[in-house]
Formats: sequence, structure tokens, C-alpha cells
Amino acid sequence: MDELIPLDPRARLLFYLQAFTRLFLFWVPASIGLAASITFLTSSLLAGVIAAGCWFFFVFLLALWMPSLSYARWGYALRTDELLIAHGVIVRRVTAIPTMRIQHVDTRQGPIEQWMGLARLQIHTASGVGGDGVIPGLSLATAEALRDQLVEVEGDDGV
Amino acid sequence: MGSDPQSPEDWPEDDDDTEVVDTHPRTESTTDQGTWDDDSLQESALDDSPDTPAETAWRGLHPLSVLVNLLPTTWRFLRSSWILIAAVLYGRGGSAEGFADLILLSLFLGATIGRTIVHYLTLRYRMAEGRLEIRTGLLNRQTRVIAPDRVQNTELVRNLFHRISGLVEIRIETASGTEVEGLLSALSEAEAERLVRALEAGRRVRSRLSEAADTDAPAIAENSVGDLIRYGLTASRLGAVVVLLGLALELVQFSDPSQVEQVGGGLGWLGTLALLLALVTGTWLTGTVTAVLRHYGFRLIARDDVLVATEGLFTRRRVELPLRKVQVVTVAQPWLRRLVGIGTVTLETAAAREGGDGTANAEAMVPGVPSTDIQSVVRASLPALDLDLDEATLRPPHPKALRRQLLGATWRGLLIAGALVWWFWPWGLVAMVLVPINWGLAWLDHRHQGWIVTPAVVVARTGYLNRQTRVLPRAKLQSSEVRAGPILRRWGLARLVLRVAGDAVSLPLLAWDQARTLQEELLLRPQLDDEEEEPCPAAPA
Repeated sequence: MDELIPLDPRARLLFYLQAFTRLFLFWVPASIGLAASITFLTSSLLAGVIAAGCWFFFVFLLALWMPSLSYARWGYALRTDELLIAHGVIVRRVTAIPTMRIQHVDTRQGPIEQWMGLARLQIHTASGVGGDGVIPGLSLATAEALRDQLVEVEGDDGV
Repeated sequence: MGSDPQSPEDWPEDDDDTEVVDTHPRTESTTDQGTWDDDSLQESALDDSPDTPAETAWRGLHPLSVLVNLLPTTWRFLRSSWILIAAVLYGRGGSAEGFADLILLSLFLGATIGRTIVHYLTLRYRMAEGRLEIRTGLLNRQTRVIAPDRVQNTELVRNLFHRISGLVEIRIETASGTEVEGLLSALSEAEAERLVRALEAGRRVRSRLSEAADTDAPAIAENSVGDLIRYGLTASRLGAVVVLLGLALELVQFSDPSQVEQVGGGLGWLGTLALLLALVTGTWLTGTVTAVLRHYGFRLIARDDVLVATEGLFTRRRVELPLRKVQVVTVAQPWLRRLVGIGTVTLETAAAREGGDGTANAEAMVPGVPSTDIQSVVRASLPALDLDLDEATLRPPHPKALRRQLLGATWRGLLIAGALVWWFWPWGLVAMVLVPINWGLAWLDHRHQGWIVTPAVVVARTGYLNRQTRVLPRAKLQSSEVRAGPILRRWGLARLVLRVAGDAVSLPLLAWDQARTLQEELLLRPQLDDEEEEPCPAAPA
């Protein structure tokens, strides 16, 4: 799998930004909620703060550690007849999609992606699993070029 | 071809701006497909008997459809709201609130009836330019276009009311969505025949609807009542029994504790056991009777390149599915069925989905196939099959896969045994036997797993207690994935999942490198294009 093309280098930053956005928008309130409920259950503020603090620290470490690894693991290769996508830190996956089986391709940009000029490519086949081909963190130009290349292919879709 | 559609008087054509046009991506995309053009349609129209119309005027449902639909819908309504009705009837008889509830209920019932009538009044369909168009709706109008070569299967259903009135319900399924795409609930038989034939003419497949013609064709599989009884008796209904027991326990807890003591005292241990046995036997027998009624007179035949399955005593079902739409064939042989020498063969098309009845979860299921006939049934539904399922020696999973299986078995055993020990200390300790039993089962399971890849198909077999052999034609492969979580990765194992439209088949655990090699090998697809010339694919990046 040495022939894989890595994501745009800025994708690493994108993954960090996404991880920390999630950390602050979701995990901070969730940890506060956890602390409150443990305090309420054990009627000891200390227990609540320590338990929630430990949990938050764990999530924080993950946010520090995962994006970089995740970036390193993502890769794709467009060969003559198929698209190969490899990713995953905890569960590692390699997905192969014959290009003629592709039904449609989406390019998506969230707010952070828009600001950074990156895009995510989502590939749909008739298998009905939308997530079976996702490539995040491509530069918009690459994503659009790849999309156009992929939808150009015609052939038997096997349905 | 392409003439102006004739519209009936009660269907104004000029309000197009209010229409919601439901253009299904999967059903609409035929024009750019190139496989289906005017030439082929004319050709097939000529081939077919001259009275097959490629184009018809807008038609409505049969007037009797209101009656035919009313009874089932009312019944369904009553069944779904029986708790409410019971509450109204027995709750506070005669009080003002009860009266208000009654009015509310009748309003709902009225709405249900009204909807049926409006459905009859507004539904119009026609064949135009070789495609089926269905218009529905009073306020939210929608037009649905279904192209014949996108039809995964058609099903004709006759319930008791249909049979009395000589009508038939047609269900047309494409690969998209979560519902039956084309549902025409009551047509006269002649009309249904015209429609199915027009659709088949579009698909360049000729066939006859009449059942008389079907009996001439040699059956691929037939089930006698005896087969069906064997099928029904061997169906595992443990789940149903557990649910019933749970419900009984709940009821007992909610009712008066002194009454429970009374009941318990009155029955004693023996009585309770007898009650339990009666409950189990009851569910078992009911299940068997249901299975026999549902699949009564099952018959699967091949007609040109369409498979036709008919079954049912009260509600007759008839499923037609083109052979080339078959995505996966599954042979289920749970140990009880192996014991009585039968297996169940299920043919899936892309329209398959979770839950639901009829065509929804299995396009065609052959309930009881004698073990010796399984190969011939599978071959008939997958002509590309280049393997003898009985003779072939499957390749084993990776030896290390047993470790994972043992680990899982230990967890499951400990979980159940632990709960039993907790509840029934100290007698629950006996439940610890479950762990070694689970190990034994895991070992058996591991020994009976297998897989093989031939030029045309991939075969994956799992399990001992619940044995399933899945046959996937390589020409239908949509995408594949090799995946490994932390535990699998430490052992160098991986799981290869092959996806087809509507379903996925996963192979027994293999070494990561082996799985990757196999994934690449499967992409070569030697059988992919037997008819069509492949256009030039995109250049590599």
C-alpha cells in the first residue's frame, strides 16, 4: 500500500481543529454534566470533580493524539478501475470501490473546511452504505478534479 | 411511441406547477444509460403479442378497490389502536371523557376510510414511453416514474378480499428507498396482466401472467405441506417464548401480590412447569400453522430469465424477479433443519431491506429444500455458479481466528453465567458450565466456517448451530472493505466484507495480508461484463 496518496497537508490542521471544536462544544459541557450528576449521586463534590476531570483529561489526550495519527493513516489511490481508500486508527480499514459501480459523488464543506479551502469527498455506490467511500481533507481543487474523474466513468452498476 | 398522453376528464393536466414530481434518482436515470433505447422497445413490442400496449391512457384503480382496501385498513387501524379502544370501552363506561375519546377514535377511523377513498379517486397510472408513471395525492401531488429495466421484482398479492372480487394487488420494487415504489392495490386481473406484460416488454423479457402457463414450466422447487410442517416445526421460536415469559412476569408483577401467591399456590411447581410447556408448545404450533398457511403450495419456477415464486393459502403471493437482478443467495441450515434434512434458500435482489413482510426482507424464499436439492436450487437462481456446494472443499479461516472466537465465547458465557450466579446464588454456580459449553460451540463453529473464491462467485459459510452459506456472484460486487480492530490487528487478522446492492457478505477471519490480496484479486472481476462492452475508465490520478 505504498502507492497511496496522502491527504492535503492542511488536513492535519483540519483534523486538529475539528477535534478541538468537538472537545469544547461537546466534551466540556458533557464533563460538567457528568461532574454535576456524580456530585448529586454521591453528594460529594470532590468525587464528581475528580471523576469528570479524569474523563475529560482522557478525552483531551485523545484529541491531542488522534488527529495526527488519523492524518497519517488516511490515504487513497485512484487506479484504472478502482478507488482504494485506507484509514482508521483504532479500527483500520481498506476500502476498494470499482469506479464503474459509483452512483454519485458528493463534495462537502463544513464551516472549518470552507475557511481552509478544503473539501470532503463522499462516494456512493448502490450498496446503500453512504460511508463506504469518504475522503476528507482534500484541497477543493483536488476534490473537484477527483469527483469529475469518478463520475465520468460509465458502465454496468450491477444492480 | 411518444404520442400525447390522453388524460381522463377528472384529471386536470394544467396544474403542473402544484405537482411534486418525485424523480427517483435510481428510477429516473435510464435515459443516459444507453442500454435501453427506442429501438429495443420497438423490437420487443413487435416480438410481443400485438395487444400489448406500450402506451396506455391514464387509468385508475378498480372501483371495488375501495371495498377491498377498506376492510384490511380498518382491521389494521383497529389492531394498532386496540389498547385505546379497550380503554374507551372498559375504562369509564358512559362518562363524558370516555365519550370524547370515542369521538376522537371515530374521527381517526373516519380519516382512515377517507384516505382510502381519496386514494382510489386520485391514483392514476399509465405506461408512457415504455415507463410506468403513477400519480397520487390530493393536496400533495406526486408523480413517480419507474423504468422497466430498473424494476428489481414485481409481486402480485391476492388476499381473501382480492380473491373474492377477482382483483389483484401489484407491488413493483426498484433498488431505491425503503418502501414499495409502485403499489397498485387493486386492479382487475386482465389489467394487472396488461401492466406486467407492458413492463416486461420494456425489459425485453416475455412472459405470461396466467398461472396456467406456470404449471407447464418445470419447477425448480416445490414444497408439499409435509415440507412446510418440517420447516415450521424447526423454526427456532426461542425468542418468542422468552418475550412471552417476560410479558407474563411483568403482568404478574403488576397485578396483586396476594393473587400471585394464590396462583402460585394453586398451581404448584408441577402446574407452573405444565403452563410453561403449554406456552412453548402453543407458540411452536402457532408458528408452524402460520408458516404452512403463508407458504402453502410454494412453487418456484424459471421462465426465460425470470424467476417466479407463488405461495400462500389465504393470501396468494406471486413474486417475479429477473435472474440478472439476484444479488446474493443465502442457504440457511440451522442445526435443527439439518437434522430433518432441509435447508432454506433465500434469493435477494437490491430491493432487499430490513424488516417488513412479503418482498421486503426476502424477494423469494424457498422455505424447505431437501439437503440434496440445495445445489440445484442455487444453480437455478445463479446460473453463473461454477461450483458444487456439496462437493467443494472450502478454505478454512485463519487458525488464529479460533482465539477470537474463544474470547467471544468466554465473554458471552461469563456474562450470562454471572447474571445467573448473581440472581440464584448459590444454585446459579451451576450456570458456570455455560463457559466450557460455549468454548465447545465456538470450536465447532470455527471448524465449520469456510470460504472459497471461484471465477464467478464468492462463497462464505459460517457457523455450526446457525449455519449459513452465502453465495455472491462476483459480477454484483459493489465495494469491498478489509478491516481490523485492535485485537484482530495484534493477531494479524482482518475481516473482509464484500458489499452488494442492499446487503453485505463477510468472509471468515483471514490474515491481514491474505485479506488484502483477496480484495485486490476480487477487483479483477473476470466475469463482470458478459453482455456490455466496457467504456474507457478514468485515467489514473
